[in-house]
Amino acid sequence: MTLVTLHNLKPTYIAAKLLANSKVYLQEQVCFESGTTYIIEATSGKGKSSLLNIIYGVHKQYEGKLTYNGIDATRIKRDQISYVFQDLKLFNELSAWENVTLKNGITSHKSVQQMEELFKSFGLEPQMHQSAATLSLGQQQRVAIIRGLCMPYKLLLLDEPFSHLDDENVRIIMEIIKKDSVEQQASVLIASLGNSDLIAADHILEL
Amino acid sequence: MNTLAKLQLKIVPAKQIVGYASVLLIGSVIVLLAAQLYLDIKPYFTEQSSVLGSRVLVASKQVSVFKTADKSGIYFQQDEIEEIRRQPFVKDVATFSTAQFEIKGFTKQKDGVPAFYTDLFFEGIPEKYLDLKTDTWDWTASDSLIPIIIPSSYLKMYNFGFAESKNLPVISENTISEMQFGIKIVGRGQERIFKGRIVDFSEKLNSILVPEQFMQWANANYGNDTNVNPSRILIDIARSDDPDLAPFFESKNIAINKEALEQNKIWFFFQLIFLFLFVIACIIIVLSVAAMLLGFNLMFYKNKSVFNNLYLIGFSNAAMTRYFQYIMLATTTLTLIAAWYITQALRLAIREKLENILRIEKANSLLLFSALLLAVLIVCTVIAIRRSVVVINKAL
Repeated sequence: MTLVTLHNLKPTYIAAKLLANSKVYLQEQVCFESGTTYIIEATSGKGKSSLLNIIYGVHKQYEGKLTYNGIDATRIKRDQISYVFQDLKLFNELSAWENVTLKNGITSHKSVQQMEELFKSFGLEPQMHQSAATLSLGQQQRVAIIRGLCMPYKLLLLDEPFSHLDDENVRIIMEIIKKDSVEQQASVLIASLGNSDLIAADHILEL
Repeated sequence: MNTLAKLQLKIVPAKQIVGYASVLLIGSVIVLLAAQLYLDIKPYFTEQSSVLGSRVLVASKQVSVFKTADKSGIYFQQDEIEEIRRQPFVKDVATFSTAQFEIKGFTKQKDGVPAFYTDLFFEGIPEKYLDLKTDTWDWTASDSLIPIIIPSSYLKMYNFGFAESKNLPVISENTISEMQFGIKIVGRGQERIFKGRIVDFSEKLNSILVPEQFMQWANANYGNDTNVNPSRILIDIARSDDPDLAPFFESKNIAINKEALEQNKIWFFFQLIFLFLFVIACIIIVLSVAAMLLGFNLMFYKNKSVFNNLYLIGFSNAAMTRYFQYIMLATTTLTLIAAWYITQALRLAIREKLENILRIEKANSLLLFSALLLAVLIVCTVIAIRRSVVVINKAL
């Protein structure tokens, strides 16, 4: 089942000639199916974050059309989309654990035990109550991903989520994401700079 | 404490809130005190001074040596009354209706009250000029009881002069109001006995007043049919501070009770002071709220990324501002409660001083007004805080 469809979509501030080889932008129709994992691959500055922001609904500077479950994207709520931002958007005033419970407080999606297990699986158990400001970038990325999993979603957007992680961590986290998205019958869109061999995706789209 | 509140507690503008509470406290105390004292003092100037309204003057011709024998000079002619009525500072003019029959008052020896039998005079004025505290003033021809208003000076003269010199008991206003005595009216060869009861006292009207309906009835049935011009008139003034008022009456050789005018002027100045204080205090309150909201705005802009991020991870604007709204609600409520108690304490202290020079009754407290002020402040701040966050996140 098609979850998201793009029709001739392109950010207004990127020249059309720069998108000539894109498999996503300025295409008559690009469909993202439910239960499928996609990698959106491109070098820096090609508009990966722009695409995810447009789909999430916080970026309005685009041409073309975007539908979500057949409905125009401008009319949908974001409560079915989980987004792990490139700049993570963690709160430095809070600990790693509090950053996660802050989000889970709205959704009540995970139990305390489930969240603790996620921290353990992500190798963050020792840093659980450490201030987010003092975590390494890799640790912060993992906290942001755990937070992203603390809500029911039909679409999971991850913007360069593994840029500061080692291969082993990528493999473990990808397994968890895959399992979670299958349980939720959700689509996963991962923006990546390239070299995505470790990411178990169903489709890779060149931006 | 939930995680969101913990996050917000770290960025809340505590100093500004303390400043807001302090300035709001000062403004609220002044507003409440000005309004409270206004209500406390108002009855003294508007009600207690007399059964007459405070803007009513009693006017009579000056009695000179030439008029003592020929009384015609003390009466107001119709054209004179019309001229007074035409003055810009006059709202209305009414005349005293005088009795054209004989009146006797009497009582029998009873309960230590001495018997008396005396000539009396009655006058009547339109009811709209009376600020009565009694509901027994209406009179019909079938009534056997005549309600009477006497000058309070009569009672004082009895208590501190007559009773003192004759070793008689003193009488309070309440006691005399409970007593009834006989009234006999005589005219056109007939007479009738009524009961009389004093229902109120007048501070500034030197006359014995009865209902105008009684005077009309009695003059029609017992009067000697002589149409006498009034010697005293009542003037309802529109503006007691009109500079032309006193010179006009002086030029016409008309005596007015200047005390009432002075009292009106004092009350007018009191009102100006209360209004001035009230307006200044309202400005202080508005400024305190504005400064607080500015403080919140600065806090929102300083921590813009925090609120943007909260919005992006799924928090609604309402959820983000709720905690700050609770803080403002609690601060404003506690401040106004404190202001209320301070006002009441100050009110007591000021009343103690004022009661040495004025007789003031305790007016209703301003609970409703305070509650209204609280509600307005809370609604304004709660909406403004919400709006600030909406503006910040709209820009995303």
